[in-house]
Amino acid sequence: MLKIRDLHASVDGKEVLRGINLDIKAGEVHAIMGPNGSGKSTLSKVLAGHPDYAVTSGEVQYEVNFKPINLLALTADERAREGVFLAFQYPVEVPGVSNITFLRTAFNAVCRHQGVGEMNEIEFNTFLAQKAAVVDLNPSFLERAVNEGFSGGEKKRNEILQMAVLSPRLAVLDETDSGLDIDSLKVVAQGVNTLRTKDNAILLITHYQRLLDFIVPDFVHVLQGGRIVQSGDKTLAMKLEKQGYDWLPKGGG
Amino acid sequence: MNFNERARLRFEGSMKNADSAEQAFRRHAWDAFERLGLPGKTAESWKYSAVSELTETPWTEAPAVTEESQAIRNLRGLFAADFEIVVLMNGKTRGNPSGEFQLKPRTLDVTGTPLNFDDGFLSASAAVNQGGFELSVADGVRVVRPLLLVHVCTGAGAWNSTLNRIALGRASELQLAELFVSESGAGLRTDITRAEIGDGAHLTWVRTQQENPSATYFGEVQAHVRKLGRLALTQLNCGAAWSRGSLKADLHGEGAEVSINGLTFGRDEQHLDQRVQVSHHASNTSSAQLFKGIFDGKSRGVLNGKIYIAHGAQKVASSQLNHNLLLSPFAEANTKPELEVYADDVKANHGASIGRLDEGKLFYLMSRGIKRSDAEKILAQAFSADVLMKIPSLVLRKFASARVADYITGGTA
Repeated sequence: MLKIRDLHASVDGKEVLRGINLDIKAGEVHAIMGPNGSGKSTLSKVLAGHPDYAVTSGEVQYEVNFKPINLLALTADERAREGVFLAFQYPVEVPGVSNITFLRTAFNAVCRHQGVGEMNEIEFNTFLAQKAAVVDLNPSFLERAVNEGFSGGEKKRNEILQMAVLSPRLAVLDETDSGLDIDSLKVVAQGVNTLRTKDNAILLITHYQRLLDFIVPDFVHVLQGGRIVQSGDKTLAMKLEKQGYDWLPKGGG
Repeated sequence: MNFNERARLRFEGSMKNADSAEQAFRRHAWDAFERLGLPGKTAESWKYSAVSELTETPWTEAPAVTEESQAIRNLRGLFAADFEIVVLMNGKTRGNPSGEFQLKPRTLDVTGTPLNFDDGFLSASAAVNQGGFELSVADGVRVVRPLLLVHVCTGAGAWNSTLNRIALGRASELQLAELFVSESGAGLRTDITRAEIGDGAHLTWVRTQQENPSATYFGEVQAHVRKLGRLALTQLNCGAAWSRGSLKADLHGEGAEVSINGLTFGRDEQHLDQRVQVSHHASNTSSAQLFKGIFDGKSRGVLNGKIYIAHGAQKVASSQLNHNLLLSPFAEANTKPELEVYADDVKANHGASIGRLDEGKLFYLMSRGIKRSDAEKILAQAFSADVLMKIPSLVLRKFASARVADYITGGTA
């Protein structure tokens, strides 16, 4: 579904990704771990199409209707309509825009593009109530402005709610576990597991092995110095938890 | 002929069929014009808006119109459920609609509560006015059904000058919406409204300037608020090629409360100048102003807001905020807050900002599949939301919100 080849990217003129190679197939869950500053968040922003992150070389192929397309040629909104989703590490507050209006606008934009029927307000509200239950989000949050005044945990649940509504084919979760207490973490992880199917893929970016107890990955990769320096199965995460990153190659160059 | 000569002809013409009270009023206004003259290039209050925009065109007189166009009939249909509707064609009403309120062609009275003629152009407009309305609500009457006045301007190249009076009796209440539209482009409208809000009376008022994009607009509101009176005025500006509006409120009795808020939307090469002045003449009065502007294209916005607190007007609370969004590198917003305070036991604060759409918010919306242009519209609507939320009447808030939503999503209001 996703093929990343020798991807280099920089932000503010500083090279952060220095040759990423990664293959993700439908139905797989991949975890990317690594120390601070290794490029984990940059990779997620580059995949989502954030304009501040410049790709300097390499390519990213994403499969749409069994045909690979150049993901990097699409703008952020085009990628989202093709089924790419980023759960933000720091979800953005949007005062004055109600969560429910935002979700319906996004949902219908994606439906329109994919040739699926749009939903009217009543249909959407019913659909949304079911999805909110998946992440145990109180329906009162739907009427409130997007993320405004939400706690850290509520913001993260709202991200997973958006994922549930948009049902992406490729979901990138950027440190969704950070700042969550254990109960919220379980709810969020449970929500993600519910959305895991054989047709979609999930890329988990995390600092801690803890999340991987709840969302069990098929593959674990270590990002260091802007490169993937080690890949393995879930036992690699456990080893990292015990031994840290020092035993691994430094990456970079 | 220059402006003064053309205006004199018009003034003299208007005196011919006038009764003595009207003649006295017109004479009073004309004298003020002769004394003040047109504001010069250095006049501070015309710093951003050259008066020549109003005076150089040889405007013709606005025609008398009797027929309502299809567009106006459509407007009636659109708002009939929520409002009692009165249409004024070039300042003239048909019949004297009345119910809980009285509305009639206005009579001119210089002896009661005269207008404040502090500007030459305003004085000339008042002297040559060719119509308007007088709207009154009797003491103690709370008008239940909101009233919508649709002001229609017709006649390309015509100067349509109207003068109106709103008088709310003691402890009366009215919800009033006004819609200013022009049927043919490139005319000038000058509209002057005097509003008297009696003891304990409440006026909730929304004014929407959505003239033809090639029109020229000059509007003035002078409101007097008496003891325990309340004025909640919201001004929306999105029409006209060139617009200058002035909203003045004088608080003359203890316990009076004024809230004047507004939204201005500019695009293309529009010039939109809004002036606001709130004057506290009595103790224990309060006022709040919130104005927001969104400017796109090469449009230019001006907000000049002033709080005046007279000597001896103690325990006054007053605030004034102006926030602007620029959507294009060529758009411009000028904001000038002013405080003039002669009392010592008062709270007065002001603030202003000019910024751009937050790229972080745009990216967030886009990352969910929303196109950039749609994301911009959503954020522009969100930016204007708190001004609309301040409208204390549900029907008027719905009316104003719909005008704003139509403008933002549809391109024209």
